[in-house]
Amino acid sequence: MSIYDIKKLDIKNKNSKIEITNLINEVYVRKYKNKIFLNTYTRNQKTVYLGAYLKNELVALNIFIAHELIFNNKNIIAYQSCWSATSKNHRKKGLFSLIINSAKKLLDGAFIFGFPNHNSGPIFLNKLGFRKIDLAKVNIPVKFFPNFFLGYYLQTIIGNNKFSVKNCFIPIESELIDLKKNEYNDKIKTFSSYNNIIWGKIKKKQTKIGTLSFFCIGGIQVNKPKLLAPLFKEIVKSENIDFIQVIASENSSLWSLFRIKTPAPKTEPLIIYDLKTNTTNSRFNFINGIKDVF
Amino acid sequence: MKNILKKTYYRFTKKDQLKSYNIKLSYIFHTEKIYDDDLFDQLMRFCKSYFEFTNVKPICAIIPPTNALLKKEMMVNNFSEEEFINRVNKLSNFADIGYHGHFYLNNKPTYFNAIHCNSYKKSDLTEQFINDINWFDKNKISHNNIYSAGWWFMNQDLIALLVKYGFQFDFSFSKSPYFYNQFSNKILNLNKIKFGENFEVQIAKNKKITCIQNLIGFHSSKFPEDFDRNIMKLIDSKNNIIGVVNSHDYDLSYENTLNCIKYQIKFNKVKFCSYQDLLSENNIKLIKLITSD
Repeated sequence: MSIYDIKKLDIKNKNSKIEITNLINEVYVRKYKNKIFLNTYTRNQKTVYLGAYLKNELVALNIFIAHELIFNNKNIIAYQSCWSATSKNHRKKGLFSLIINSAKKLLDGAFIFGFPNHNSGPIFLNKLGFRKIDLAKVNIPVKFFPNFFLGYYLQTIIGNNKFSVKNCFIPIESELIDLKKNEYNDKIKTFSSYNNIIWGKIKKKQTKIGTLSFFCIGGIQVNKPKLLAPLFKEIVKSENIDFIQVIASENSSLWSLFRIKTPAPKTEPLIIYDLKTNTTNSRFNFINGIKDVF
Repeated sequence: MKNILKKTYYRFTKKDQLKSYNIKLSYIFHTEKIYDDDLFDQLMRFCKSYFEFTNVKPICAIIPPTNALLKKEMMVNNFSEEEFINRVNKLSNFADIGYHGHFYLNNKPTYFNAIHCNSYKKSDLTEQFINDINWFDKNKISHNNIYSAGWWFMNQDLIALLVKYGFQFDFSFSKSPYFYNQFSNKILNLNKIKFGENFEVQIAKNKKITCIQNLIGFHSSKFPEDFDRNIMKLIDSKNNIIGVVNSHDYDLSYENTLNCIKYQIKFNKVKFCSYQDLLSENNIKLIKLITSD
């Protein structure tokens, strides 16, 4: 029997918000005010803030962002585990595992997922029963001869049959755009035409040849695959960038839109724990933008 | 430059290259801005001229003001629901009214919240569809059991709703890459439906809807030959061609479109029909769809 109580925190309650903010600011050594909630509270309002209490003190926390996904034409909720925080005096007491194990029982959704760093990754995979799906990436050079490179990297889709979303978990991109715009405002750029959407933000990367600027794609909503290429051209036209980057789960069906992908071993992998749905044979159309740290 | 090239090219192309396909057409408007005085006036004038040339009415598939975006636009333009109903009633003298559905996630009318196959929520679709249908009933405006999809969105849930609510004619499927979506393309390909071929979709026993293809968007260029060229790109059999061509009320090119209609009647012997006359007489393909309902 643990001496800690696991409780859901209701962020409509002002005190709960203060408790969460104080704990995270202590652990991450930050001075966040509202960022935590802008980063996690999706418009479906089902995000769960799960805390471990000792008596009446919040001593550990994990946030589970509720994402609405489409799976074979049905809507489901999946939870992204993030913002893990344990107060200094209560570390090494298994509180992180205690919260995650409680979440497995409490959360009403299809599965839990996350993109853990090197600290929490081994715990999720070795102790908590999560499985790993590696990520893959493509960097499309667009500084010079962009049309040539886009033509080379993007598949020519004949009809729509080559792009299938059967057994794929697909994020609702407008929900993610809303969430990220809450946090980053105009830094989130959206491009759309013919019912397709690409969104993301400009990032910088230090390399041996200097600083490169690239458009990091946060999400792609594909409704007319044959007409997706013009959107990439629009990005190149409107942004002064060296390359376009896509990082997505290795088994995403979105890769059928690209000719080339390479492993992304330095990027945190996707991890999954099944709740109500057996996802063993499913694919996850998750691009970088779904991450809480995008 | 493009126009000079076109003019030269069309000088050397046959003017009746579609004649052998026995084309039967109807014109459908995705009617979205009834509140706009100028556009409504142009639409009325067009429908009257169209009737003079073809002896039939076009279809005007309307968005009802239960739609969140239209409601907002009407409010901005200080246009009442009563005026809207009056205009639809006027329009119905010169056009066959139908239903044009646009649906939004969370009923939030922005481009990014548009419901498509891969940005979808069944509960939102159902709620908005039923509200729209109730509006027609409440205001005694007949949609003539005609449906035409906004943004070309179609899936098994929507088609099930259409059948459930008694719709008989759908104009949402298309072989044009600008119009089809993943669901409609799959249905057309799996069932080997040819360009301009009608088909029926059956949801349950005795519950079906006739789907008449949307062939192309009616171009706005001054070259009527563009129509032939665009249609020729999509023809995939020697069968007769039946279908509709579309434009919005707000992107209609009044003169060019009427010229093209006259050209098609004169050179390609295209027969412009009422929507009922588009039904093919025999051997219509029946597609059985299994839905979750």
